[in-house]
Amino acid sequence: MASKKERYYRSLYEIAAVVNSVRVPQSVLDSIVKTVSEALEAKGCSIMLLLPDRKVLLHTAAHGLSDRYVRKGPVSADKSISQALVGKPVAILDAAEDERVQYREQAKQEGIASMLSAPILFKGDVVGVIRVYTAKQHYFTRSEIHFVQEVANLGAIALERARELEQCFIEVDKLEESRRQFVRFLSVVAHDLQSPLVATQSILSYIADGYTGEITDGQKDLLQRGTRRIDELLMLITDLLDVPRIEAGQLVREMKELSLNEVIKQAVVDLDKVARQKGIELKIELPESSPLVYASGRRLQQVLNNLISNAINYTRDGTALVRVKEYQNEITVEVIDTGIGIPPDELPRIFDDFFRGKNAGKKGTGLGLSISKRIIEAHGGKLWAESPCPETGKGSKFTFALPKNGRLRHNRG
Amino acid sequence: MKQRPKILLVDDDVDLVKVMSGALESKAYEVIVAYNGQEGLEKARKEKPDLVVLDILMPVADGFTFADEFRKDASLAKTPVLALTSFSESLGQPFPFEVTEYIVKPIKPRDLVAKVEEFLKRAETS
Repeated sequence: MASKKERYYRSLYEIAAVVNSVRVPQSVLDSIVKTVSEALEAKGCSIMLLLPDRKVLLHTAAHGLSDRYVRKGPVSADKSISQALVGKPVAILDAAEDERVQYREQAKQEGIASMLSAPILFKGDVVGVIRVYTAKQHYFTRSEIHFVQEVANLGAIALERARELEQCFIEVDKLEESRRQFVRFLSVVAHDLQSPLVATQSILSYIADGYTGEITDGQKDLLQRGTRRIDELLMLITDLLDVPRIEAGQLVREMKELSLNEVIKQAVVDLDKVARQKGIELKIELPESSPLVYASGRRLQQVLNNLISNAINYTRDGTALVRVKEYQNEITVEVIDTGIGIPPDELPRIFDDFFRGKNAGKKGTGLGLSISKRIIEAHGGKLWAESPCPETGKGSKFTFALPKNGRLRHNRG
Repeated sequence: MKQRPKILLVDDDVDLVKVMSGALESKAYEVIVAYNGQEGLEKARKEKPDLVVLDILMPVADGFTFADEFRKDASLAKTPVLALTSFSESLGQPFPFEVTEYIVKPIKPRDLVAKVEEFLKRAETS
């Protein structure tokens, strides 16, 4: 009966074999053992790697050996390969009789006569062993030993590359996990920061709306001022939380095929009243083809809202135009106003986080445009600004382009 | 419509519950309050409300927990549910449940009353 320790090692061996098979470029190791077998006209060849405890080796690649032999169990690192483990090749003439061989019976059954083991060294450390097996007793020549040692050195490079790659995968996993944690953290923060403010808003409007009894105009004015300040804070929280959410790619999950015309019509309906109150005419020009985009409707709405609101805010009187154009590879949406425009020295910075121009009003966090840019970029598109608008010579023009790709089709009718 | 329609209010925020129920009661609605999804479910089964106002994010048993069971009850299957949510909270997680209408917080108690009236009327005529 196998001892506990043996069973333990056997499990470890099985697990490690599975783990290893995932990311070590097996094809590289397979081709090494095959090439060596053929080059030496040997029965077979295998690569065994040292487990981290440095006491046990496991077969990572084998050629010309039966599955049963390869899986015979963990190879302890103290007998036939002890010399290899200090960095020197070891040749064994009669594997079935030599006491240094741990699995003599199995070697005999497998038809192995002689073995040559060479260390796989990396930066002076043995990381594994490459072993050549012959069917007839064979004295390995100096050049054969040299050849196998050279192959072992090449194998070391391949393994190190694999380990680096594996390390990269681990780092990527860690990064993704920390991003997920961050988004979870944000949800909690969003809830905990917003809840008290949201409740306070409702309480203030409860009083302002007279549910607790008549209030004076002066009291009402103060309550409204309080409400406005809380609104600002809520807006800031929403904007601040938006940035990492977009960067964490959350909106990809919200994307689906949408009619761009419909999204624009909705945004314009929402803002038409605001525009009218300022005496601004809000116009739209939409293509008859009614192009579909693969996008998050809510987020596109957010971008349009931001751009159109800006157009309205920075225009005293005049017009704001939303125009969609369809090209071969992309669809553009332009928001053009006849307003005060953007000073040339501010133009390069308007998409920076927290940037607020000298003409900016009291409202706003300075995050609107930077968030809009992130949203459009998360859709594989671009957002840019021109001021004055090249066609009209006044105001400004914001354009975003969304790519047409495999998921975009035309919706006729 | 019944003389006094019954409104079930499910929200963990005591202050919000106070003003929302105050506003609804001023319109002569009968207001039943629950502070988490589990309690809300029990009261819904017992009281058979005419309409439910449901907060989605609650610490104990949230709106999702409530939603999983609520529609399974045949006597509640057609009850209108107004879900309270905030834009940033609800992002990216679709609510797996047939909600009559989403209301984005913050909400003015007066606007909530208007919504409740609107959906009670709709439920009555449909």
